[in-house]
Amino acid sequence: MSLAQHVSDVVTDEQYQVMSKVLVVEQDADALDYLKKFFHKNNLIGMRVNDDRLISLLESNVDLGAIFLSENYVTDDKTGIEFAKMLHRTRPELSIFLRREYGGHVVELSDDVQRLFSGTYELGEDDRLKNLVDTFLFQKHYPMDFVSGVKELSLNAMHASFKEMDITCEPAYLVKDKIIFGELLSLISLESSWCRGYMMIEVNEEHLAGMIQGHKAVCDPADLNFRHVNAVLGELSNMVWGGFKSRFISSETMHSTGHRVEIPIIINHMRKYISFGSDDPQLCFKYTLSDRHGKTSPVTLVQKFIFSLEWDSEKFSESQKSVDEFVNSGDLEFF
Amino acid sequence: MAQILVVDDSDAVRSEVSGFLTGNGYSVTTAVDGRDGLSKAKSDSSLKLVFADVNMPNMDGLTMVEKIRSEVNNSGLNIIMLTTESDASMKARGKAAGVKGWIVKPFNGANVLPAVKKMVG
Repeated sequence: MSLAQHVSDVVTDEQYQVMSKVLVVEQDADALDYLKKFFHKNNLIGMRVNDDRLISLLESNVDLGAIFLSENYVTDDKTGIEFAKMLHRTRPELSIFLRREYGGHVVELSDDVQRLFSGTYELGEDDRLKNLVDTFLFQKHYPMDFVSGVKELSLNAMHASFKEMDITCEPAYLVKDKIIFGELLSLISLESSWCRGYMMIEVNEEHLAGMIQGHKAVCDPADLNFRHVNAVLGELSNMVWGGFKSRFISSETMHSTGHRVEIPIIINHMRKYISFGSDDPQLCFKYTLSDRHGKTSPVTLVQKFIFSLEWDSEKFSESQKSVDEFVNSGDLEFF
Repeated sequence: MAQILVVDDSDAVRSEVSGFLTGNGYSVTTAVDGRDGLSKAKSDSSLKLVFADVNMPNMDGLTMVEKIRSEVNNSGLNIIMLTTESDASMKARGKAAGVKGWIVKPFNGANVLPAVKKMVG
């Protein structure tokens, strides 16, 4: 079976729409119903969690794009605003959209409190809420050709790197999280006339080691240590990067080498935190690799694109006209 | 004395390619980057074939090829690039430097073996 045959041939607009997972902190049934419909129309996936698990979820979740909080949310020991302070303290990178009930008279929020929120809305204010979501979450447009292309070339690289695995990919989604998934990550820069940033692939080291030990990777599992696991992730990243360049970047559209902005990347190992200096959402793909024979544990790979330095979707579309045809990998081309 | 030199900064690729070639009866040595590859090409005149990556630290693969051609006295040495790069300008540079073939990763041993037999014997 050729590599291309591993990838689904069915391409629909819906399949490659970019989603985002958001946390809903609400108790009002009408509001929950309203948000459910709003989310469905606007590519959002709502998640609810019990109060006692809220902080642990925020501390560990790597998938979130924003938080929808009600001002009237109350528990035994906290009001909605107190919750907002706690949420903001725990995850300042996540936008919080506050639902208010003006009831005919507006109670102004103090400056300190207003600073916690990306914006406020009332039930029924669809346009206002959509504007908030577009401004703080969907501010970068990722064309379907880009999303589907990334998924396809990444699946091809994974099928070439791992043997006898079924690989699935969730619909692409946006995250504002800065928490690192797993213990091992690769980072490689991406640069063209229409983008500058990084691709990051994150994985649980033990799970990937298990796959190598089970003879599912191309390298020899004898005397396996963490460096071999690093090497496998490194080579996978290299192949995805090469595929990205082949597919999307022609030599004519390479970025000029004039003055370029650089931003330090900050990593805090203890807190499993990484920042690229921007709060812009990152485009995320989550792959699950399952052993066809069920002998090794499934492995999750989280791939994130961080175009923190430049992104221009219009230039992307224009540049694709000049990119060469997709290459046949694995074949020897004689000169 | 080795017949084939595999130059790649990836431990996984060196292991995969050299494992395949050794399994097919060839003697193989490896190098971790272009600088190491150049050094090994200089010190072993029995080499008949080099597989080389392009993007490597210290010295890239194409620079290594150009230096091998200008600094190593081994006219029978064949070089095949094994890389994720598929850019036409890079291939042209490789061709001008005397590269015999270009493979876009992944490495597919079965596809390459006939050429190896022809070049190495």
